[in-house]
Amino acid sequence: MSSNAHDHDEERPWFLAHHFDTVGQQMSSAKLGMWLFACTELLMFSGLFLAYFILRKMYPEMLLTASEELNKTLGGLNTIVLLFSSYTMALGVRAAQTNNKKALERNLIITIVCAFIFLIVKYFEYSAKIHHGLLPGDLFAAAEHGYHLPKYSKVFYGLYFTMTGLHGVHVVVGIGVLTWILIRARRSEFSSQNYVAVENAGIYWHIVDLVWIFLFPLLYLVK
Amino acid sequence: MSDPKVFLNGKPVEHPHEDHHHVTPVWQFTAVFIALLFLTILTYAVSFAGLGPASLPVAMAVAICKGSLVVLFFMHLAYEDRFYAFVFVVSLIFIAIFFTFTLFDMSTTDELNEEAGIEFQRHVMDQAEALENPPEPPPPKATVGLRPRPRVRPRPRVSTAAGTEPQAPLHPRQRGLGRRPGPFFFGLHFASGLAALGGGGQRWLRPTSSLKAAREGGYVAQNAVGHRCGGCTGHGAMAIYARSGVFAPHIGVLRR
Amino acid sequence: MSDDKNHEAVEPSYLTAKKGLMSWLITVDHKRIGLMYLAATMFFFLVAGLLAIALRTELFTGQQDFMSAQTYNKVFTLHGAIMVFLFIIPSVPAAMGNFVLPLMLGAKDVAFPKLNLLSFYIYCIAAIMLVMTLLLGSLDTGWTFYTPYSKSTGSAVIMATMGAFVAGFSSILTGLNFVVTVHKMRAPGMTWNRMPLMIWALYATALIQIMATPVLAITLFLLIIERTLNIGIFDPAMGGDPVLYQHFFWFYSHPAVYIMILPGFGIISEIITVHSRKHIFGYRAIAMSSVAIAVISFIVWGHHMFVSGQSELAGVVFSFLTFAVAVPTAIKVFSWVATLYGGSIRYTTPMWYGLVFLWTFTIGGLTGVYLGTLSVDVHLHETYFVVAHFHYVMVGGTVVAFLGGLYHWWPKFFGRMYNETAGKISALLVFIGFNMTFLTQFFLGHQGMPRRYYAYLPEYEVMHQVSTIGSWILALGLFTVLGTLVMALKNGERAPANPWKAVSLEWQTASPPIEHNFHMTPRVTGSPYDFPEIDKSAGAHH
Repeated sequence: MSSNAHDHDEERPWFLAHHFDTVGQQMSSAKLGMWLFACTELLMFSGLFLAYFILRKMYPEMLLTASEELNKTLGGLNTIVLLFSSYTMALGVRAAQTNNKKALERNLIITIVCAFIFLIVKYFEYSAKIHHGLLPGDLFAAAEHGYHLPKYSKVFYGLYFTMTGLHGVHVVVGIGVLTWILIRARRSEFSSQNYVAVENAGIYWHIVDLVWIFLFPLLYLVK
Repeated sequence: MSDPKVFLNGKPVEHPHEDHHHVTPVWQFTAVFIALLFLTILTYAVSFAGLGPASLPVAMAVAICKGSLVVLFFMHLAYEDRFYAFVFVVSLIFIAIFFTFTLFDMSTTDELNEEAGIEFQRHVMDQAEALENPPEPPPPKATVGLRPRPRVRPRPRVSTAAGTEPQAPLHPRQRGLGRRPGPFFFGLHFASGLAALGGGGQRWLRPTSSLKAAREGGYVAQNAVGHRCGGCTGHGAMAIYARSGVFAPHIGVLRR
Repeated sequence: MSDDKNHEAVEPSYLTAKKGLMSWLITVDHKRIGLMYLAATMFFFLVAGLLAIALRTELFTGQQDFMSAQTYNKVFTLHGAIMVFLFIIPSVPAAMGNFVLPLMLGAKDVAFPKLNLLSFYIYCIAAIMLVMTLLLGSLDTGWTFYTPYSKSTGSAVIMATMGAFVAGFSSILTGLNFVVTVHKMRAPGMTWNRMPLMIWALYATALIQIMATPVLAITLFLLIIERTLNIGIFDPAMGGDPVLYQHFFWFYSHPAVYIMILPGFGIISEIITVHSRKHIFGYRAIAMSSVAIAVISFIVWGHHMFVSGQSELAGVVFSFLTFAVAVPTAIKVFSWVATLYGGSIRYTTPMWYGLVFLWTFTIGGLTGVYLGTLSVDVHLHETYFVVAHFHYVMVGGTVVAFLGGLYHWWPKFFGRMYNETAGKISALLVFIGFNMTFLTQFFLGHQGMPRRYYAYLPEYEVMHQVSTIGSWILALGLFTVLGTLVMALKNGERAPANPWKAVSLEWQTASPPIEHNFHMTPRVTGSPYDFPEIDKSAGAHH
């Protein structure tokens, strides 16, 4: 009548888990799961963005003056680095789809390197802020460093560090995920029939990029 | 009758172990990347132009364009099962709900009861001033706690320079905005009272009656644990019932 | 049925297929994970229940008896936090849902079995964190962690919020798993309109878990940062807005009350139709109302904040929207009653719980309309009326449904029948005890008794004493449940594969099921509620 759960079909590929019937089912399940996860990420960050907008509404002048101290050029550089890494990630997924193992590895490595560049730039940004006492909450000591910032500026810096910090944590996690994918790619685990893990890692990485696309103008550019 | 071996969502699948997906050509990815690069430089350059209040919508429009490009092409949403797009859009809708209602609340503070709020605010401030000489801006603790929330006229929100903080920062929620409400909202308010209790519930439709009584009796509200908690829903240890037979479950300990 | 007996001799059940502690700890079988969840949630139900009894006993007299005010604050906070985060939210979806969802769909497992196990261990970490607060000076903010008090109190807020934060991830993973499973793992012929209503309820619940819980995560994350670094987003003294915290918190926590009650609705839909031997009335209406409740639950959160300093205009709008929830909820209640009408009702223990649910949940739901009414809520807010209302929904609704579900599926879980008489006695005790405990609290609240106080005025004493005695009876009832179910394991009769003669797929395999659920992938040809004795020609279709 229908397939028996214990008859291991000889046609079954090695990567098909026991509780799935088809590769398509397994792939689309994994991808749906990843999209749902992407949604949870967006909703989580949306809380921070909402906090930003509320802060903007409450203290418009403070926010504008305080955000002047952020380094637009470094922020812009990081945007380009992340966009480029997204581009190579997309090419990596395409390489997996077309059975191009070399291109897959190359693109993954470029993506990981970009992620590190992003973090290094971030490090320089953060250390400049720390050096000038532009820190969240109680640590805020801008006045002692000769800044004349409006009242409640420390709330803005609190939010700045929270938003970019949480995003940075996602970048670090992304490096871990991509490294794991790279190791698996080296073991030749992926093929044009089995690349959903690469694609899901890609979706995660694009979400990291997507969040930054909104973080960058709001924190650095908008007046 | 040939019986297909495997099914997916109740439908037979002909070639269960093959799966074909859309492969995007490289030039398309490159084009998308160049577009993203262009938009980034655009938004960066525009930020020096000093657009003033227009800078937020412009920057957001550019960001939305960039985000859409990433989602549609890099994330393949344009070529995927429509359902993923549906899931994605639903999450955006929920974010929109979250933003809309919260910002709605923030921007309509004091839409209703503006006059009563200001009057009450002044009353409390006068009392606090009389108690504390020399007159200073009263700390929020003394001014808040009774319903309706104390309010003041819009304060100029020009930021004071230097990192020093004034003694008693007035909470931004204490600003007064807004206009008189139209009959529509009073109608809603009234209907909401009737809906649950029917005609007999009309006596409940004066939420400030007990407050008035408390005020006339010269009571001052104070949180039992000595601080205000964003309304009396804060910490549980908010005393509720009044002496003197005033039924004011939501207020706090009433002290003369 | 005889078929299953033969198979059972050939193939062991999931309980006996593998042996040893490790085979449980690293299992990816949804049934075993479900049972591990069940054991864990029952344990925390017991702990938090004992705390509740301690609270009620302290309230027996109007003076301080054996708890100081501060201890009382800590005990009610712990009672609330454990009940919400460690019992009610995971109880039905993660424990019972995990077990029955793949079986009802005719699947071999959930879509991501390893994620399922991970979700359980994340839950365990969360539980350890929440219990650790006891060692770190406990918590006295109430389960809602409102700022600014949660910022200034000396108690272990960070550990507790970390616990709730981590519990949220467990909840997200379960929800994600369920949505994918429902979309991708249905058996041949299992169309959306042939899914049991329990699945619809779990699906709607999972949607809320995915869409709302991330906001809880970010809220608690901000609170932790607020407390450690004083960044001042929520603290008015630092320039923040405490009402913003409430917006963040309730954007999650109002949908979360539907995470708690929706699976209960699903269980009741199953119990009522199976034990009254009648096709469910309004299948589509019930299924769609689950989804409708899930969606509407996201636009009503402001009714928790009527007197918090939210703008009155927003209050009016939220109050109005709140009434919208009553519509799909009423659709469900009326459909259940209509299902009972003309059915051949069997007064089994699950059915008794189903009837108890209809009584208590209706009271809980209707008093919710009172509280959703802006002008009424201004007076009833922060009184025992609120306490009684949400206990009527959470205990009278979810817990009663959960108990009914336990009796209903116990034969499937373990292959043993329980003692019907003992089961009915437990239902009776729960019913009497529950109503004594909480009906009185409506009157207390209406008279102005504030919630969260260890002492009260002498006028309230009689009602409080009735309530306390009721809580003891309720506890007795719950211990009877425990005893009945444990005794069933020990010396209950062997359960047949399908003791209730139900049609849905979980009953079409052995009791307890084999490791891979079904010998043959089942094929679905009709509604899960077409009972064999229903005369089809009489037009029992929907």
